This record gives sequence, C-alpha cells and structure tokens, in this order.
Amino acid sequence: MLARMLAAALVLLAAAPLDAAQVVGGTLRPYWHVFIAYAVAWLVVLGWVVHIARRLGRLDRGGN
Amino acid sequence: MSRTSGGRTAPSVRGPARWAVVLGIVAGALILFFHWMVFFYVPTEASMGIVQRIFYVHVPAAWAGEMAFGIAAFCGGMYLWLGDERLDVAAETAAEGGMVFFTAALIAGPLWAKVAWGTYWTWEPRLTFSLLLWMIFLGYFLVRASIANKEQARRLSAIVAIVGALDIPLIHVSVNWLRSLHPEPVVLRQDGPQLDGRMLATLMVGLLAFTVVFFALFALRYGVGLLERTRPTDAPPEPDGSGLMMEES
Repeated sequence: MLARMLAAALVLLAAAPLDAAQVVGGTLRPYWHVFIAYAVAWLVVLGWVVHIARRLGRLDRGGN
Repeated sequence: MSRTSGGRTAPSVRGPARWAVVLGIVAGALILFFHWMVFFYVPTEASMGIVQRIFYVHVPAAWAGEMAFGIAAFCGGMYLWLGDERLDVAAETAAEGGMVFFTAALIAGPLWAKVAWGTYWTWEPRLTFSLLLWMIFLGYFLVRASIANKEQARRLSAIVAIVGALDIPLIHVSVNWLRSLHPEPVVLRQDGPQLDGRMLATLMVGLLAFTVVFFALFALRYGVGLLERTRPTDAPPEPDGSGLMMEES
C-alpha cells in the first residue's frame, strides 16, 4: 500500500515540473517581454528627464 | 530678452518653460489613458497573443524618434543656412530626444521579435537601416563632443544630422522594396488600415501620447539649452583654436 502511494506521489512529482515548465515557457514568458518593453521605454524617457534636471541644476550652481 | 550677471543678452525662456508645463500635464494624462487602453481596453491579438501589445509602445517610440531626428536635421540645415544659435540648440535637443525614443523602439522591437521570430535580432533591411540611423545620431553627439571649436562642431554635426535623416525614408521603403522579415505596415496602406478599430484607436492614442511627451521634454530641454548658451557654468572654458581635442599628446 505504502509502496503504491509512494509510486503515485513520484509520478505526480515527476509530472508537475513538466506542466510548470510548459506554462512558463509557453504562456507566462511573453508577459515579461511586454513588461520589460514598456518599463525600458519609460525608463529611457525618465533618463532624459534626469539628464535635463542635472543640466538645470548645474546652471543653478553656476548662476548663483 | 534680459541681461544676465555676465552682461550677455539672454533669450527669454519663459515661452519654452510655459510650453513644457502645459504639454507635460497633457502628456501625463495621455500616458495614463494610453496605458489603460493597452492593458484593459484593446483586445488581445488572435495569433500572437499578449506579446503583440509591444506593438503599441514600439511603433509610437519609433515614430517619435524618427520625427525628432527629422527635426534635428531640419534645424541643423537651417542653422547652416542662417547661423542662428537657437536653431543649433533646437537641433541638439531634438537629436537627444530622437536618441531617447529610438533607443526605446530598438529595445522593444527585439523583445517582440524574440517571441515572434525566435531571435532578438536579425540583419534584415529595416532593422539594419534602423540601427544605422541610431548609430549616425550617436556619431552626431561624438562629433559635437570631440571637436574643440564649437562653431565647427555645430556645423559638422548639422551635416551628420542631415545625412542621418536621409536614412529615415529607407527604413520605411525597405519593407516593400527589399526582402524583409519585418511586418508590413498595417496603418499607412493604400487599401486603408488593416487593424481592428480598438487596436487602431490605441495606436493613435499612443502616437499622440509619445508625440506630446517628446514636445514637452523638447520645450524643457530647449529652454535649458538656451540658458546654457548665455549663462556661465562650471564647464571648462571654450578654447579659441580649432581641431580635435585629442590631437595634442
């Protein structure tokens, strides 16, 4: 009885990672691509804002 | 015009500052609305699935980048003709914005390509011409930074910007004229847009949002650029001689 339960558990454990891998590889991964694409786009724009702010700060220091 | 402490005449930056504030508020509202459309309103594309939503950031970023490079070339050309320093400030500002938005497009595109094509990059015509445009404008900043004579640097960089802008039409015709892997246009077609109405609306809002964000930051950066030309900063003094800075050893 115990051996059968162990065998069944092993089968389930062996099958579970396969399903998880399929989900990660086939469905979830593109979500990361979309997230990174939007995040990088706005981070680059934010970088320009910081660049402009630094130039303005340098002007303030130089002007005072 | 007003007088600075150094006695030099400073151009008024009130206009650009006012535009930056107004456009910044409009841009913020448009960005929020655009993201609501992308993530809650637009339907998921049937064949590509969720990754197709990268399209709504890739295309507007590429549009804003190319528009900015075009403005840089136009202002550069006008600077060569008229010699007005404000045109050079506008050209430099637009080139900076172009680099920002085109970099975003060049990162977003490969993220989509990895899922759709199985590779981040391939040397197909549109991608190659796009990278070439980015590199030409990288050269624009290298020219400005490496030539000690500011007047010479401004003139040479204006020529680089004009040469770079000649690449923009090539990017667009390459999809139709050359063997290209890149998807064909879905909006600017002779037989009309081939997009679902909600997808087209989301794209249009994205194009508008990126355009307004660009012009808001353009106005801000242009104002700062004008002030930099008239106020002394802690930057090293401009040498009188011409030629490259690294030529002396």
